[in-house]
Amino acid sequence: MKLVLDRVEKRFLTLRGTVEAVRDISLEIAEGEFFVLLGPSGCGKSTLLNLVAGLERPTSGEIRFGSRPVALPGEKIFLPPGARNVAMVFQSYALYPHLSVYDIIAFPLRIAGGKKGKIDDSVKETAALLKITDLLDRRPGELSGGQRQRVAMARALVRRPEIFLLDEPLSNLDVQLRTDTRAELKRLQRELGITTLYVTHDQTEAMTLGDRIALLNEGKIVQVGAPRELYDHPGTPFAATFIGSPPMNLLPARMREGNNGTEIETADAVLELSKSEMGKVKGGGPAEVLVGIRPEHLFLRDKPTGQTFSGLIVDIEPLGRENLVYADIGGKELRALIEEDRKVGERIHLGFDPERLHFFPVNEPC
Amino acid sequence: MKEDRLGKILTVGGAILTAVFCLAPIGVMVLTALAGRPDFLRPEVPLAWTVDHLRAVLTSEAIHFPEYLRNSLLVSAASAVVAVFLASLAAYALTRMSLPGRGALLLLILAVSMFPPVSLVGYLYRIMASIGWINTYPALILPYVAWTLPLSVWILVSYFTRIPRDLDRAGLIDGCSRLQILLKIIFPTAAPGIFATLLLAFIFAFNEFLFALMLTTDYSARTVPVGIALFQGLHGQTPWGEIMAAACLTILPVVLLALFFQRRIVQGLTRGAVKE
Ligand SMILES: Nc1ncnc2c1ncn2[C@@H]1O[C@H](COP(=O)(O)OP(=O)(O)O)[C@@H](O)[C@H]1O
Ligand SMILES: [Mg+2]
Repeated sequence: MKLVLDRVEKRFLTLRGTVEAVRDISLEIAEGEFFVLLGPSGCGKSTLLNLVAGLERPTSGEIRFGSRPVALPGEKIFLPPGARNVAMVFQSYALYPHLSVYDIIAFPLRIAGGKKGKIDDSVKETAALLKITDLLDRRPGELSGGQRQRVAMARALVRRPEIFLLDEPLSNLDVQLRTDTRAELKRLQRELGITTLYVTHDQTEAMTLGDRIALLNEGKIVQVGAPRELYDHPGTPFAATFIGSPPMNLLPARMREGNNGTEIETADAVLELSKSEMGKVKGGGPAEVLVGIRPEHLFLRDKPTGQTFSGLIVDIEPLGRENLVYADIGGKELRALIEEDRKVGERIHLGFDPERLHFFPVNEPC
Repeated sequence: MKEDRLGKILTVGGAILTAVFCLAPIGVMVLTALAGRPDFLRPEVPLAWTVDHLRAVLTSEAIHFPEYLRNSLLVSAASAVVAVFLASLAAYALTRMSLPGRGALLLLILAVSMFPPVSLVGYLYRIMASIGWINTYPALILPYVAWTLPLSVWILVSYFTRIPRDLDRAGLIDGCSRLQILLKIIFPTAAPGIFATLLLAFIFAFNEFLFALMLTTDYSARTVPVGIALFQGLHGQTPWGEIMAAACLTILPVVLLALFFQRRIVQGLTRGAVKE
């Protein structure tokens, strides 16, 4: 089922004033797509998900499932969640504490008034799909976090919903389990082909799971695209620092025409880029810019050149395969991922491929 | 360790003192009910045991104790059930709706329950008299429901706020109506709380005296507290033995309820106190 959001807004009236949780969001999510809503805490992800679920009413705008409007305040159309055939997995899992796993999974089918034999088949089939057949007699209180998560997924999937909604479903799991479950979730979604809207604040999760990602900030869409697009071509400084770990270095810089091309003066370095190199750089133009380079795109040089940052190492975090080096470059801190072992206090020269540079206008609103 | 032992002695001693203090009146009540004479503590009178008082209370046509007890149980149970059901609807709305003046409303509900019953009973009598309900069950059930409702709402609000809102949302997603959520999800989840509230409302109604005194005239609706209080009018002197025997029988249902459901009540009172 295709999912369309058209200029959707949601305002909450509270005693302390109006909260604009979702502002002017338009999205089109294709049939069977795994779509991720990514953003920092409080940016309106859950509110947007609840709007799609029918747990909240939009203040304005339209939500359509396929060609059917499910929420259109202008014409007083609003379908409650039960009439939308959506399923949702909550961060807290929200399993009914007084029911057995079997009854929890059967719950939505029983509310819908299904036949007993059919319900039994569906419950067992879904339990097998999620490998929880041996847990059917237990209560939620007797399950581990990972098992609860599976039961929550089973309850959601047992109805074969048209749209599958997940609100930070993995954030209560430990790291190992999260990685495993992530892979399994992706496989499951492919197999079932259900249109999926997935909320997370974890960019790694978004990158690994999403066919496409919408990056949100303060209730607005910052950028929409495939994970690789957001990584390679971040549209704003916010997108640049939110996606990728460790985050991209951003340095205020001044650009001017030099003898052999463009000179970029930043921190205490002057970088020289030739005309052809500048041609590949997108966005160069205004004199005052933010220049960005990802830590993984910096590498060690033996001696300074026209395209290096030079400074002292102030801190090193060994990550196993690589080391995350913090270098002081003329008062600015630069993060670099390098494989070589270096010591704190040493002087280093960090080179880069000019194509890897990003330029952003200064003071651009996120 | 010396201090450890001292602490233990003090703890146990304190517990015993408290228990004696609380149970002594009940002890006196039981002894008086079973003693041959009310002045059984005087050393010159030999102590004699008897079940005459109990038998009299249970069988004597004139005393009507079984009728009083039946009235009390029926009236208390009915008002507890009605009050808790209404209170649960109110508590659910109060905890789930985004009401701006929620806190003020709760305080108002509490304020209503602070009215001294004696200030209401006169008008209540006139109302009941004018609709001809004096000496009927509804005449008692209605005021009891009104009287226990605020307390029940308060207790249930504290229980319902502890139930995560996500359970309601999950219910909505699974296709429930609000009433279905209340009946199929909230009630079972809050069962210990509902039960504790039922019990409390029951005991409140069971112990009530003033309304029952004013709104009933004889054994067809009179409850136990009033019945016992009016024992003395039947004979020339105060029949202590019968009064205490009746009191013993009266506390029996409440004691049994508490004993039988002790675990659930304690569970109800302490649930949510620690992270589960
Ligand atoms: N029911 C509500 N009433 C008032 N404000 C709300 C409500 N729900 C969410 N908000 C506000 O809307 C904003 C977005 O919240 P939310 O969607 O939960 O963010 P996220 O899930 O991205 O962390 C926050 O500022 C939050 O305080
Ligand atoms: Mg959220």
